[in-house]
Amino acid sequence: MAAEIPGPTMRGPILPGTDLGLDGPRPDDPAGSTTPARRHLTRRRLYLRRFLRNRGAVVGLVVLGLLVLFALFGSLFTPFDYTDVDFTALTAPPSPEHLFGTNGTGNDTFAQAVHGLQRSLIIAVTVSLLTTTIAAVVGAAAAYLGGRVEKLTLGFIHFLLVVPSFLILALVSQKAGGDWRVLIVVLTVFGWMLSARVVWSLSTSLREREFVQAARFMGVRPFQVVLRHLVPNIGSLLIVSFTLGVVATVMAETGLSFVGFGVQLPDVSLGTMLSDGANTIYSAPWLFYFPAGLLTLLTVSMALIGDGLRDALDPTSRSGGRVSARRAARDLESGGMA
Amino acid sequence: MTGSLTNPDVAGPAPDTGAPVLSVRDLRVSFPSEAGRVDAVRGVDFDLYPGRTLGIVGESGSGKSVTSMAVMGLLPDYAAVSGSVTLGGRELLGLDDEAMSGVRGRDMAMIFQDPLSSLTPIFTVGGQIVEALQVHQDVAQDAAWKRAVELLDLVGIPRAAARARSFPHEFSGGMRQRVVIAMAIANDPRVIVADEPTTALDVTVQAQVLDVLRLARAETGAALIMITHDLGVVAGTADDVMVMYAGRPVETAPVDELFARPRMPYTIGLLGAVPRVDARQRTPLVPIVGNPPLLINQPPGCPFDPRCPVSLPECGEHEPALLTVAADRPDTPFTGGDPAAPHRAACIRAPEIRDGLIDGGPVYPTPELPVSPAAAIPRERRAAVLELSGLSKTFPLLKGSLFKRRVGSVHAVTEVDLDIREGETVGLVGESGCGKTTTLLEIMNLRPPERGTITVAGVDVATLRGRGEERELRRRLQMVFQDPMGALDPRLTVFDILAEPLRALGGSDGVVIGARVSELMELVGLDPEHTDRFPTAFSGGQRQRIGIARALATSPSLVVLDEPVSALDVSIQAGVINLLDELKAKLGLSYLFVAHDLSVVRHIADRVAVMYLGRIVEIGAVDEVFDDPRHPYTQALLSAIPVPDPAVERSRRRVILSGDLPSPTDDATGCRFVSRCPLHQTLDETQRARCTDEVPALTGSGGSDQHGSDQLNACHFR
Repeated sequence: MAAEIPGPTMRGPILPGTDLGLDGPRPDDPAGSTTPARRHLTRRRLYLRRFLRNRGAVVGLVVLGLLVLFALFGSLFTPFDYTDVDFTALTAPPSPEHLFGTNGTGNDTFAQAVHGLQRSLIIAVTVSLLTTTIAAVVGAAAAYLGGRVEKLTLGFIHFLLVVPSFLILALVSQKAGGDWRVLIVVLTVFGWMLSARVVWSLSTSLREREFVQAARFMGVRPFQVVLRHLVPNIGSLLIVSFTLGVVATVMAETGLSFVGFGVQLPDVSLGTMLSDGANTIYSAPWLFYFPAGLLTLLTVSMALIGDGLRDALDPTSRSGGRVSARRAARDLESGGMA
Repeated sequence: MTGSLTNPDVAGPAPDTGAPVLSVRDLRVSFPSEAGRVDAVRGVDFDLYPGRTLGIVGESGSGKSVTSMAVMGLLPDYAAVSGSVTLGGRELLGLDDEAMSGVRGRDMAMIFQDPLSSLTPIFTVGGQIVEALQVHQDVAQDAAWKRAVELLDLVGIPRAAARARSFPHEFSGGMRQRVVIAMAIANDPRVIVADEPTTALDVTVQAQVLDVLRLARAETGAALIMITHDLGVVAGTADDVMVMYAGRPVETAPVDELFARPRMPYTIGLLGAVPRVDARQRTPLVPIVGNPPLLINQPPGCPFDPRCPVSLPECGEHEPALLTVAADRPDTPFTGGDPAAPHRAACIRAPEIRDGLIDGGPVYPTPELPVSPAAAIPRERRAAVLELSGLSKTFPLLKGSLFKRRVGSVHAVTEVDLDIREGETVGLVGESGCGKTTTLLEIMNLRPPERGTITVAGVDVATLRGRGEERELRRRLQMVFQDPMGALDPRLTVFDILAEPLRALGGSDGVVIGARVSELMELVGLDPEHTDRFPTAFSGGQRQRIGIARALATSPSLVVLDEPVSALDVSIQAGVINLLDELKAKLGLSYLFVAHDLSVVRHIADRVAVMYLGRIVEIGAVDEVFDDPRHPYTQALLSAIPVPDPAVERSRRRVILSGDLPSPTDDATGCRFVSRCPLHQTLDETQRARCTDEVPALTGSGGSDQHGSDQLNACHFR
């Protein structure tokens, strides 16, 4: 029953593929049964352990952590507030006084970057979290409940998809005077449908699986079946959709700000800074490159974290298995010293 | 092809004592993998003589399929193949793909397991046979087409000339496999390799296809390699048998010799692990403990050593060679086949094993089978845990793309009456599409059925009010699924899987749940320490045990088992069946056992109900029904099951049913079995009219309840 024998050779009477993705010692084989007795590991612990094994993911997490710290406490490193105007330094390049330089009106770019990152982070993460959650629950519930609920939900999703959302976004956020909280609501309301549609189509195949049926026959409540069995099993999709959602929200917010419908002055976000900086990319490049660098760090770290999470959550993930095998070998070697 | 016919000559043409048509010497195949090199085949030797059938038996992962793929040259490039394969004196290993293509299909043909994926869906079957012919022979289109029709006719496709223009999806599974066989014999090959040719088919269809295969071999005079996990199929078709384990043949012998006097403990174990459809008394099956080795970094010594009940310290030192063993009794003449194929076994204790016994005792210790205390009480006095009466279920047949309208109904289940008493196992059997799964889902849904009533543990499900009452009833009724992998959520650890029914049905006390989970793991023979692992870390048999443990979590009185062992290997299956038997006696459970494998049902069930097209056609105590089947369908079904005993296989009379299961779309008047019934053909005009006009009721023998037996059948004339 070698797990790694490639597909076509394993044609047999016994459900081909049931043993693929085996990534741990078998409890029954003689080698595996020597594992010392362990206490019950919770699922979260197990996921954490697997996540920490992925070097890229840890780097991503550290970078994200630094960015968050920067957004929270960066203002301590400069005497200026993001609204302060320094008339002695208009469009000044970076200097000890203005670490990231200043813009045309004399605002300190460092202070603005700190504030803008904070804004963008809050908007992007909140919106992405909300849309992914809504998409997961609505999509999976529609698939599991079926019947009329499914039809109505799909109809609603399709209706929202054909509505020109950018226009509505622009109008609503304009009316609200560029308040970032309204922006979150509007971006969420028009952002969840596409992933909900994808979640729904994945869940329709998942709901036919025997373990979903088993849960139903065990008397598990429908909502719990959705949360415990459907949503976790599309976890990798949700995580990818969350990380991409962060990037997409930053883009949407930037786009809105660029046309002047997003975050409005005096409030600042990475988006408004980018659109400002783009105008002076040759004369004052620091106005563009500092926010752009922060944005890149943010998206890359999100992508690395997303990758690591996917591998940690997916019990059949190949890379997880490889890492754990290498790690097991290392543990074995160092076992003598411990 | 309707009616009874005896088994065609199994031995086939007399063996040509001349040169073997195919010889394999020291064939070795290994694959690279993440975990290390997988040695899938480790030294296979055999000679195949023209007109003979070699059966290769083994469990999944034993290397039997890889052997056949290596012989056919179908392995991927990264597989390392060494040794020698000669076809009529020509070495095949090392030939490039182009040269192999000249051999494949002309000199050697292959029949795959899945007839759906071995035919191209976008070409007609006739066209595909024509292509097979024209690739290797210079024949004109007309002549090739004529030959294709002849071949289709030969393999028993009715109205072959017209059907040749049909596409594969217009054929049923059995018919498709016939087409594949027709393609395989199109170029008069010298060797036919059949890899599990009937595993995906129903029993009655399997019997048809095996007959066609025998016919095809007789027609072409080719040698046949029959790869299967089913010992019954081997007993009925093979002349010589090779048993494989961990990539090596461990025993080879002529078929009679092997089944009568196995010498290798693994073979003995396999034979003991198979339930037999013709075995009257209930002896426990003998499981082989443990799992097959992984074939990566094999330790020295016999690979079967860790699982062998009679292993000695020497067994772990080096791997035993495949040696000829002497006849059991030297004084009696050697009768087990021809000397060209001697009995060989790879076991250092083979000389000590005689008649399946070692030192005068059985090789495998026979497990004790506990007897259910409920069995002592007569059936009528026990309370019913499940009663179905007049249960019916139809599915609408819709047409139209935008506005669906109902154009008819599929009568999946029609007026099913069934009751299960305390401590009883009722087997529900039938071919795929007979409505057994629908019946089961109707029960599990706990919703008022379309027609009829469902009563679980004395509660009519139509009277259930609210979720609370439903949950209370769910506690009494649990289910075990067919696919041990699919039924366990891969995202949950075993602990969470087992705790789920406990939490769902009230009870959230962590300590109580933890204790119960450990208790359940022990109950099904698993280590409670392993509850923090994911299901992927367990083997198939262990996963099924987890599934059983989950079903038992709420202490139900009725467990519904949907083909619980059909996805498992024979040696593992025996252990699970014994576990089910044991649990039933220990916990006083009742089972509704749904299966298509009648041997398993005979072994485990007390009563059996045979379904055909949504109706129960025969029901009764398991021994009565199996020993004296009354309904023509039951008779055909039972006679189609291969028995792992070549002597029995040869002498059995088979009722081969023609055709396939029709679709139960229109509620035809009269008996639904009429279209395939062998008895119907022998009746006179007025009796036939009764068959087609009047729905037969489930009654005792001769149409009335005359004797006290509760064996009922739905046939007017039985």
